[in-house]
Amino acid sequence: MFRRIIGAPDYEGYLTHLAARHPEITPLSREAFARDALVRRYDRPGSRCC
Amino acid sequence: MLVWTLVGIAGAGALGFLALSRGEQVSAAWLLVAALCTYAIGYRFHSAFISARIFALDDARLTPAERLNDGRDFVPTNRWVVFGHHFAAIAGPGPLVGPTLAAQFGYLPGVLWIVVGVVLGGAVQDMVILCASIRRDGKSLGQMAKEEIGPVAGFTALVAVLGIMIVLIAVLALVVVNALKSSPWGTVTIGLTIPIAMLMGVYMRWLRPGRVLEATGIGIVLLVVALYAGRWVAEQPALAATFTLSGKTLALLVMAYGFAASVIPVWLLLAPRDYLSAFVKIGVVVALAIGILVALPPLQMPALTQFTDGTGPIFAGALFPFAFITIACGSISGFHALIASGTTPKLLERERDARFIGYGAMLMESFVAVMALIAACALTPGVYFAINAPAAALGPTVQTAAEAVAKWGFVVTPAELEQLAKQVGETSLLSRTGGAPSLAVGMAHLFSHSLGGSAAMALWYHFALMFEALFILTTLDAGTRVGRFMVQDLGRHLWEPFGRTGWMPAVFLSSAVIVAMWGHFLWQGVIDPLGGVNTLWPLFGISNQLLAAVALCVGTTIIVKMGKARHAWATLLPLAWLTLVTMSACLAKIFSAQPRLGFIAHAHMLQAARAAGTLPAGVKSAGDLARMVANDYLDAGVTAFFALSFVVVLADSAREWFAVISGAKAPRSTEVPFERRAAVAGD
Repeated sequence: MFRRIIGAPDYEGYLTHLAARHPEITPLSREAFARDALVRRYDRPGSRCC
Repeated sequence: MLVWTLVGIAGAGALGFLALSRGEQVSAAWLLVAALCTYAIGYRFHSAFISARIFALDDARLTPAERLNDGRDFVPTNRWVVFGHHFAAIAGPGPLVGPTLAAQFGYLPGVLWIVVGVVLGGAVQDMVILCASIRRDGKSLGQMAKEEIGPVAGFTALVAVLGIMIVLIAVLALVVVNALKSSPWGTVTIGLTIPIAMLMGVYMRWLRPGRVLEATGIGIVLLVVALYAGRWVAEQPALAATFTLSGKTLALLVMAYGFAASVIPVWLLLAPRDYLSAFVKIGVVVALAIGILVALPPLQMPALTQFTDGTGPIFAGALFPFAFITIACGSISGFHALIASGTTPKLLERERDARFIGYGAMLMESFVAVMALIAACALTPGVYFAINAPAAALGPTVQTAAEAVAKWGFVVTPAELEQLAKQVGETSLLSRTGGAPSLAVGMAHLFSHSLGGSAAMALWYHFALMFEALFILTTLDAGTRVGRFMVQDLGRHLWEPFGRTGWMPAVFLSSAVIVAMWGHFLWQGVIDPLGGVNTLWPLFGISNQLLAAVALCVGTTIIVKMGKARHAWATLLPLAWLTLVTMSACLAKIFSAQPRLGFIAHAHMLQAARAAGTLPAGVKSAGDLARMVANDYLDAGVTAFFALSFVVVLADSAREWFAVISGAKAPRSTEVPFERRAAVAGD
């Protein structure tokens, strides 16, 4: 729960999601998933607050 | 209904008591009761109205998180978790600094605007934009402005956001610089947070990939170590001298930091710092609430001070419109519209959660502002003004400061000021403008009251300072990076390779451009004899409130196009008020004939001094004077640019509203069509 609150990638949640919805897809490794999550979060103009 | 009537009576009673009490000290409990009762009524009735009458939020309707669930960005998430995430994203240093500065008018204007403004304005904006975005697959504010109002409004909003970002980063950087100036303890502690974040980054990348919670736990332990390390350094005379830095040196260091954060990989610095900051943020807000509830300090500040006429030393300008401009984020913050149309709409599990998250999290943010106001007003006014007034008003020593404060009608002795500085482990607390040090003193008072006694004052002070600086640097580094992407995106139209985010020359050049832009304002603030905060904070407040007004234009347009024009007063009311406030403030800052308020009048005063062959007080050279004149014109130009951008968006929106209301254009909603959720066991 704390993971999601601070906006960290949730690898276990991702695995559960794939297993339930897309069993045919091979999931990314933990490392690849973490890298990918960072790119998604920071490599585009997004939310930043005062 | 009986319960709500009682809540209403309690809230109105507390507000009335605050408004009417004169001369005697008031307990902070009255302020808390007034705030909490107003929030409860606003949440129960106004947010329910927006939920049911305007958007008709429906839990049977699929949310983007469910329809587009990809396990990454779009993930249906428990409402409490989304609430925490959204709150951590919207809460920043703004609601802490704004109310602290606005305490110059007394506690009453602050508390009234914070609680009334949030219930009718800020929380409405956040919730309406969140609902609009959920119904459009999580579209951003910029996209919605373009699609709902038109391409002109969309582009103007985009450029304005970049301008606002620059002013925001500059003013926050200035707050950090002012807080760390001549403070070896603070400088070392904050400086150490950078290697701590990098260590966490390495840990998550190579040692234990993806283990964010472990790394954050280690980071928090190291933050405490950094706090003690700072004290140790400050106690060694030779080391302390090395880390006693001037404002100019600190400004250059902060610029170097912003540039580095923008070009090095995010996993090394940005991401770990974000995690740490989000954690500390929620922890400290809870701790502050407990501290205030336990201590229930009496408010030392009067309800209204004589500075409501605009003669205040902390920033220029009368109660209207500058109390509203200064408080900004704790009441209405345009930036929240970017969050409410960013990550949050992609996480909502049920539509009706938008009420709790959009409206509720903003009430919580407002409560943070109330707590900051309490911490500032619990200081004796003499101490408050000695910390926050610029050196030009206070003079160089505790004696001159005590005399200046006495002229304003407040009492503080030189010995008290020396004693307080010693207690918090600083050489001096005079003219530490920017709000952060006075809030830290206030928090240290509250915390040491319940934990550790006065012996722990210094640790609590530096802990509070570290927490504020952590907030600010997180906004500064990520903001610089976001700004870099925006610069690259705009530059792409001129020269295609400039837009490539992976091409190092373009990355370095665009980062340098954005740092130079905010760095210019920061530098101007650092060399300003009046301390800079009194120029930059109103500029930031104006830009933030104008962004909020743009968001309310988008919200109103969406409501009108849904065929709900009769309910559009919910967004039109705060929009009208913001238009009045921001336009008055823009006109005053540009055209006021008082040199301390109007940019152009100030430039004229400096030019007249130059023509007479003299230098005004605090100005060191003819070169500095010429730079200050140029900066005055730049500030006037930036203010005019913000005002004009808003007028364009407002005019473009009004055209749409009249077209729909007059029947020239059919009210057509651009929502994604209704799709029913499949009933799931356990619902």
